Amino acid sequence: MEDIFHLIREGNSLSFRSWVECIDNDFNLVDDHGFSLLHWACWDGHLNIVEILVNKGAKINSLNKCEDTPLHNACQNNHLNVALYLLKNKANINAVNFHGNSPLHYACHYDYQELALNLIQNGALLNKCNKYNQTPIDLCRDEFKEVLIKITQNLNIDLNRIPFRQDSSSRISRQKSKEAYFPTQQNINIDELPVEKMIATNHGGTIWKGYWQENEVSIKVLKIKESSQRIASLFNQESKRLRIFNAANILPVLGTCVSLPDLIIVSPYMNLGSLYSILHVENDLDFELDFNCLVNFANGIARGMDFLHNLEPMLLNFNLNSKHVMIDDDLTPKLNMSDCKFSFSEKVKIFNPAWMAPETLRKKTDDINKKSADMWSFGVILWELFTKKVPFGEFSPMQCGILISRDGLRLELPVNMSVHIQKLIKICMNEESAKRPKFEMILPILEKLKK
Amino acid sequence: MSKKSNSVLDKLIPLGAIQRRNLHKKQIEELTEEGINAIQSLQSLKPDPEAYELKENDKRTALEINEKKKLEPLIQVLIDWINHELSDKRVIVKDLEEDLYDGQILHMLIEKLSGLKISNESRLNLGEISQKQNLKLILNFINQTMGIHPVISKWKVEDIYEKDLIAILHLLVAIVKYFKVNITLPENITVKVIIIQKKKTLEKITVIEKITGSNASKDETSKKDRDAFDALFDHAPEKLELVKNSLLTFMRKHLSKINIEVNSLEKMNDGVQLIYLFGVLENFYVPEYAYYSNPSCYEEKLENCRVLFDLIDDVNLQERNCTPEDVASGDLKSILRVLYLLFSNYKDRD
Repeated sequence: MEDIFHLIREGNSLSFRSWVECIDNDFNLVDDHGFSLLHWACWDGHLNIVEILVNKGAKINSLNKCEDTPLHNACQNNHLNVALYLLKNKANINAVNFHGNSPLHYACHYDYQELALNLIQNGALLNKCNKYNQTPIDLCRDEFKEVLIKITQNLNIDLNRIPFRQDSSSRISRQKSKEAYFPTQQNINIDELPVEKMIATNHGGTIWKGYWQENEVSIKVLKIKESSQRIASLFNQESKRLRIFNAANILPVLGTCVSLPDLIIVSPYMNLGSLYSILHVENDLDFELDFNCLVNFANGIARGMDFLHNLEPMLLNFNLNSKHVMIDDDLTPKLNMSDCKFSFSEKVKIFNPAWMAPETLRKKTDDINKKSADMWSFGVILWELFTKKVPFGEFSPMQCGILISRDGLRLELPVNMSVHIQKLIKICMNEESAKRPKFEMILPILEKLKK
Repeated sequence: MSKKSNSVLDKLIPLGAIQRRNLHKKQIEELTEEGINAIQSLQSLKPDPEAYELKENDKRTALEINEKKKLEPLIQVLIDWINHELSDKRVIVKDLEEDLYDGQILHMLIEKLSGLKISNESRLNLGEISQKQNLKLILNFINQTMGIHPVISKWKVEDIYEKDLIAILHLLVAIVKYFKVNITLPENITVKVIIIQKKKTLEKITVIEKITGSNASKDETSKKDRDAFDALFDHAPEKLELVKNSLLTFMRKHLSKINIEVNSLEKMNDGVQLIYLFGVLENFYVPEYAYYSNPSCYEEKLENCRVLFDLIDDVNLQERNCTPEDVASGDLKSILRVLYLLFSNYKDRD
């Protein structure tokens, strides 16, 4: 772990690239001071590493122990190119740290004039006070202060002081890095898993909220027909592949625990729950499910699926539906690897046929193109996101399955749905599976839809 | 996309209309109620298995007067068979009750038939305790070999040791069936048995014990217990139609939701409609590759029935009284048993 921080600080992007491609490496890792890899890359101004991290989906507004964002670190060290890149990728320009300082406070304090001007152009506030009642302008050297005042007069910028407010920040900026999970070994001792409460029980198992290494985790006890040493070893072997830490839109399995007859999967706890519950169950959300938010969900899910499809060998046992997508506190959707099927899982019963492609209701996974089938499921998710309805909610699973596979039951697109979305759904849900697109092909479309 | 879903609605509406016309909810309930009553009134004919689990001093069984005569042909066939089987052991059995109770003959018999050795210290067990232990060992071995759970077996150590003829006969008949011994047992032997229980006062119950079934319908006697459906078929055929109707109604109510028409119970031996029904009741879909949707031969039907039974076993309903083979072969009684099991567990589902 020490090594990876060294790699970053040296700016060794080649070695870093191969490190990040390894599925059990978590790029949201933080050090003792809460600095993430992105914090350090910004601190040292290694733009190429910053780009890799941001593309992978590293948390752009994460906070270290002083509540600095990566943008703070870039500005403290006068890395203009890095700062501009971060801003292009939705870094919060007015984020404040523990002292109430914004990135602009630092640019002004250190007299990085070009950087400061760029920040102001991008909307940084010159009149916002820190904890000690100082605005960025207060911190400037006299000559630069005069320049700035002139500019503000020309641009008609308001210089009335905005007083410091404790906890003024929005959800997005409040992403204090969680203590990193250190998933060095897969096997977790059952004695290290204190359980707090049961969250849910369904056909796949019982899910509990608990703690592991002082992190909130969800603990899933699989429901299986029979358990034996043989099945336990299959379980250990197959769950290895589910420990995917290097993709932003994948919720990894942290570890597993065999305590026969129980097989247990431990994954990070997601406070907001599944996409399904956000769309259809919860009604006191503290954020708006507006068009942008929904497109972001769709985009993240597509990125996650694209990642799974490009794994070598491909991960075939994840069935995409809104119950298997979890939503992180920063509203990042994550495909829940603990919902993957095992070779010994129940295969005859299908509980969520509404999301499944017609051919999967008829044929074995081996006999169909799973990638195309996943694209159909993605189409159903799009429909679900933009109608906020449960697909075929009025039917039971058996009805759904029979009506879809035999009687050609299909989702109807409401007239008030955005034309772009309608088009996209139609492409995804092409009756001929070979004609459905790949996820990498629809990612640019989804990017464009973001406004 | 929208065109197709319209066609589904077209199909759903007329079916719903038929349902409304024919099966008003009240009517369904009435039919159902009658069916239940018919079944439950027959439960009393069933020998109460709990009676067998009472401690030995609490219970005595005896044949009703003149009933033993009915058994004589069977007893003779069995004695001849045992003597033939053990002729090389220089053993001659004259009386089943007197010669079999200590387990020694049974020991030799079962070793001969199974080709396996049962280890015990000595064959000369004279004391009552060691005799009983020996008998228990042998009965356990027999039960295990035949795959019969000791709790439901009709031959308890105490009964055999107490020279209970009925228990001994049940055991021997089961052995004959299990090892497919080539002798012909007299068919359809039933006897009235009086059970006297001591519960402060003496209580007397008369039950009908079926010792052998018809040879044509295989395995009848080795089946674990007589149930309401045995009674229904043997004693109340006039109620059969009623029961069939209420089970059909139950089935139609659920399968109309997936546009499946249910015609007759007899055709359910292919397992397909029963799989649909169970999926509707338990809220899952069964993909088409998991079973034969148009089975054409017995093997395919049997495979479907195995899938069905596996699904049913997953949810821990009470013990089912028939096998996939029974259902696949088209045995109406077994089909009714499966349906009734589902009906009794899910009758409140809408």
